[in-house]
Amino acid sequence: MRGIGRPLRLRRLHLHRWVWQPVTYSGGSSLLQPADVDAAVMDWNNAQGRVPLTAQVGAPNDLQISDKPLNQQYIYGLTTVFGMTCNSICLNKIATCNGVSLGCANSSAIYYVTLNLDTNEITNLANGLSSAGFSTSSSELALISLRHELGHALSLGHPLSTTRTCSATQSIVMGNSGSINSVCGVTVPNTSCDGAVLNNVYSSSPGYCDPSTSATCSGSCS
Amino acid sequence: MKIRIIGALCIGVLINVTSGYGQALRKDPVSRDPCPGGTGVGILDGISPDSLEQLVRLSDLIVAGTVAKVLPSTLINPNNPSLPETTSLISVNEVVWGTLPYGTNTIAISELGGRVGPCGLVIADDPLVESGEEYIFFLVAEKRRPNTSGSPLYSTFGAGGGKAKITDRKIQFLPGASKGLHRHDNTATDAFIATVKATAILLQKKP
Repeated sequence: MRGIGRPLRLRRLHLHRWVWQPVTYSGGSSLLQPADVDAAVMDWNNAQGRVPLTAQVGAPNDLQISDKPLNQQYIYGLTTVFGMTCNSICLNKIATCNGVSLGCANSSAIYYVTLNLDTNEITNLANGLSSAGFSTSSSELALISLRHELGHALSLGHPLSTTRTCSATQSIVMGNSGSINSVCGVTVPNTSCDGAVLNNVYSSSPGYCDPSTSATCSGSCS
Repeated sequence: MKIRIIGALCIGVLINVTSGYGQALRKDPVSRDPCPGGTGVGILDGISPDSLEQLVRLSDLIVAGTVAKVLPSTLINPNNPSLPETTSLISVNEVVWGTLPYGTNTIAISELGGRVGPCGLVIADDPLVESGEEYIFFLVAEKRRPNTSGSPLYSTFGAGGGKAKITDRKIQFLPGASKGLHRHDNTATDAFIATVKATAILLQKKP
């Protein structure tokens, strides 16, 4: 596969990063079984160890997965990162969990992420592919999309379009033959690229914060 | 009086020092306000044509236009305060391919992003258009939802590739566009429009 072994040029997502782990997730998609969502999460957990994702029903809620119409044709997913600027109570205060400092909850720290899938557009895309002779179900496309968006939720941006980096967060492109592919056909996160870049973004794991423990903020920092 | 002032100052300092203690760092799932005073950064994912030919093939209308007015942002769903969209009016300078609806020289385009109340959304690598900017727009008709703009409503094609900015009479695709589209960056606008027209003819695309 082209790109493996080349310098990693995936871009970070606007310098936002988690300051605690594990990151809890909840929700799902009407196109996916709950087990599919858990499997997609496990694909990322297997590819990287810095920021593990864990299912959580109830508080706290770091990552919310849901179906939402995005009102744009040919747009099937949106990951939105809310930084600590959206949590004015804790902004620029020292984050603490179980007595251990997690670092500064500044504007670079992720507060909350939403992951939206547009099931209508995913289904339209699957139908279009089917009529073009490509056998891809809406569930398969939803799963590829979910894996892709989870990469954004961990803070990975799209690779530069001018490179041929093989990554699960590479934009899905439409070829002139009518086929839909991610670059190099990578639809599942891999250790060598996605994992390596996350290890680069997070030089060490963020501080551990048990989801059942109430994390707090105090003092001031920047 | 002096003692009262000193006392009030001490209480103020005490409140300031202790105000952070006991505050929740993580988001409460029942919180209905995901972004008090803040703006989310979104990464949009959609079909990204890997060539100009593909982009032309899939567009309903291609125009060169100037952003005449950016309308106030609205919510796609009133129950979803963190998902705003913004409609802008485009004055069409030239129809590159396709047909404008009869009797108008202005169209509306809808883009994800904007701000409604306390919630803002900025799409990374695909910012909202601004008044006075010029673009080549590759558009798809939006017929599935209410249109209150007063002009025919379109959206730009896919993620990133559906609008090419014109700066100093040269073309610049947005960072999120594919390598095949970025190949046309810095092409003179007139030459690029000629290429688009030739591509449409080659594809035997009918308006």
